[in-house]
Amino acid sequence: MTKATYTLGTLSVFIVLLHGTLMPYIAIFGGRVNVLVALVVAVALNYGTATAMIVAIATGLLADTLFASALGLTALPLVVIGYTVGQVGRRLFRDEPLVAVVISFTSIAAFELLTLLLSRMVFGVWWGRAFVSAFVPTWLVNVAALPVLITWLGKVLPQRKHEVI
Amino acid sequence: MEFWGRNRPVVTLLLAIFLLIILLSFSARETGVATWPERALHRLAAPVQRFLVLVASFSREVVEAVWELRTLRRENERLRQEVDEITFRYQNIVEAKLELDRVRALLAYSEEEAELDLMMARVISRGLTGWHQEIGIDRGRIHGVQAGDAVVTYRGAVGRVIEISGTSARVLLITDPRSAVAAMVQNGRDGALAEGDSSRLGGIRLARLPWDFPIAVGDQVITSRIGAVFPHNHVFAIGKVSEIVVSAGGLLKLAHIQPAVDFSRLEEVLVIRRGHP
Repeated sequence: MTKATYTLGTLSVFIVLLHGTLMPYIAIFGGRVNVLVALVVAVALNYGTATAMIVAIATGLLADTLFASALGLTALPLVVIGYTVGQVGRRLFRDEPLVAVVISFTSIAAFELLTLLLSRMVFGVWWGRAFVSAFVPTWLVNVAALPVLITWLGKVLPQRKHEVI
Repeated sequence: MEFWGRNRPVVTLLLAIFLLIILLSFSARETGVATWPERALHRLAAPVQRFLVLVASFSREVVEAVWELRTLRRENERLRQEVDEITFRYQNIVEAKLELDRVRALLAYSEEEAELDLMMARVISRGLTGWHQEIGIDRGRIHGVQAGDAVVTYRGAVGRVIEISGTSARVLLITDPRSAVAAMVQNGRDGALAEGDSSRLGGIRLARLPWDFPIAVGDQVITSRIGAVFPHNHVFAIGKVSEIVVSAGGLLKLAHIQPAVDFSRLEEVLVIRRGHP
């Protein structure tokens, strides 16, 4: 276990707790900033697919255990995002600001839609019209906030060479 | 091995998804009891969660307070204006009530003195200097006021009309040094002349009293029934003796009178119309 691993682990736990406690309080028009997606995307861009998937599973399961009613509800979308961004990120120039914007745009949409789909599958519920009123503010808030967060996390995370699995 | 080496990411992903779906389907069942790893995690995370929630609620309160500050300022400004408006209205109401009380007192006095032809008048002006103890009233010739008419309040004598115009009149107060009113001490019934006190502006004096004139401090001085200004069949208070001064030779004495009427606060008076039918 390296120092970078410890730092990443501590940061991940802190972000999970932040996601479940602080973020609901600073919702803007009902839309919350999804710091978990920001973390997984930042890890995927900086460390690659394998680390991103490990972080996604770990943080997702921890978040599900602490805050959700079923294990995997958050972890599964995060794993998919971690894998996809990790794979796509290899082919992108990651310092380009537009990259963060496009990745945020698609990641948050993917996370919300996958979560919704899993909820439908597991609990059999469908939000219908509420989907638009819940999805749109969340998506807009995250499209605005995630690029900044991802860039910031990229600077905070321990520097490590990009790995490919 | 070659397959695994080339497709490791996809295989890992599919495996992870498969395991997570199984986990999800199992954990979604409501057992009502948390598993031991869940309990352990909850126990570990609870203090940090409590702290973060505390921070979150405090931060939210701070943000809300800052946000509300602007609204509060506007509200405060609006309320201040409202308070000013209410204060203004309240002052007018208080003023109206005070006026009503005074008018009621005058009316009650008018009813008591039914045989006198009393007419209420408002004080509309005062003497331009302290030397001239005069007031202007809003009743004049068209109201039947004549020069020489006595002016009183329910507290006592005020003065006499010295000049009239159509709708107003000027009244010389009994405190003016030019004024002289036939007076008498109420207890002793001895007559004297009450003049405006030139040595004490706003005061009245009984001058040139014989050394043995029966008068004492605190005696009530009233109008006598022999004067030309005030009606003979009524008396009006002039004031109370506040000081008696004996002249240097000891032959004469002078009594200073504290007026019964507070001339500085005179706002309504009664004119006794003598010539009115």
